[in-house]
Amino acid sequence: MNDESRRLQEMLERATAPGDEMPADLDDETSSLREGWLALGKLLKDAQFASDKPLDRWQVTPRPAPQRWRWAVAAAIAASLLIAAGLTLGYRLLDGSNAVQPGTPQLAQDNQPATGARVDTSEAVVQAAEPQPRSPNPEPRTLNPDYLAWDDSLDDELTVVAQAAALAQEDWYARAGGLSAIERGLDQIKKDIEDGTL
Amino acid sequence: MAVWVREHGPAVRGYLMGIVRRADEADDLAQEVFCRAWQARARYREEGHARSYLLRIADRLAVDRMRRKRPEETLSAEGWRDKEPWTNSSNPAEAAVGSEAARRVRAALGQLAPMQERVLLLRYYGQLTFEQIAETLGCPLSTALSHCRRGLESLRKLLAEDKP
Repeated sequence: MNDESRRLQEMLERATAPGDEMPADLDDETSSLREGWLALGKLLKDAQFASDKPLDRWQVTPRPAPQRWRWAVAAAIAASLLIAAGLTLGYRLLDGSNAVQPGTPQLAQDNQPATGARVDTSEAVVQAAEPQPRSPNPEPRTLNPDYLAWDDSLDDELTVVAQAAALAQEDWYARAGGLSAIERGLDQIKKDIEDGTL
Repeated sequence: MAVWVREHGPAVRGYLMGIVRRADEADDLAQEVFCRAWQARARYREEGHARSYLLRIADRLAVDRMRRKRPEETLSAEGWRDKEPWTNSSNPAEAAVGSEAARRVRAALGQLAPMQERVLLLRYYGQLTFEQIAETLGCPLSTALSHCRRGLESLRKLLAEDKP
């Protein structure tokens, strides 16, 4: 601090000293500043800015500290659930083509959907009457590190799966046709019985 | 905390009143000051500067409040008088004097630069040293001294012109 600043600080400390009196030993400049200070003090006092009456109404109640650990626990749980869901979904996607799920049509799970599907309707009647044995679940697929390379076996498998799905759909139509043939046969038998031909 | 409220509450409220110039806001902020001080009591080191500490909190809260205040909420001194004839006195004569004094204070402080106003109010209500004021306002000591000097000069002229 230079001399000018020190002198100014001393002058201001005297001009703004506590109390309402004007000391007689002040120089002109300090007296002038003191006048402004005393006038401000009188107005602030008259205006009762610092009145303590409202303090009677105060109720300083401490607010509970923010419990951030709760948010952290909730976030950790949510993250765990997301990771678990992601892993489950990923596993199912990778393993889904081999998995036999209950309730799904049998033909969609057959290893040879095309052999039985590409027959005409009359053969399908026989085929529908003799359900094809379910093939046992294939061996669980082991993850191959080359699976995710472009033009790898995964692409081929996707193609096979798509073709199998299309054939299974055709097979379903064929079986539906077979069922209709059985119904027609039953109707014919019933009609013959009624006519007395049987 | 109760001792702090009793000893420093009026000064804190007076300072806030000088900055925000509304009794309800000053009361709200004053309570907030003591709540903050209570929450931070573990970090406070008792060095005999409790008022300085509280006024520093008050200053930050008040400045923050004023920054967020929308321009249309700002009223002139006359507008304040009409909106809020401010006094705590139950005596009508005292109330009239208080209201008039409040109007003149608001008018006078409204003519000062914000930093001048803060320096003078911190000095008046907190009786802080100029070093403490500079620290509270985050400015060099010479700047705080300069603001104080110019503020006092302006006040003397304004109040001399406005004498009833």
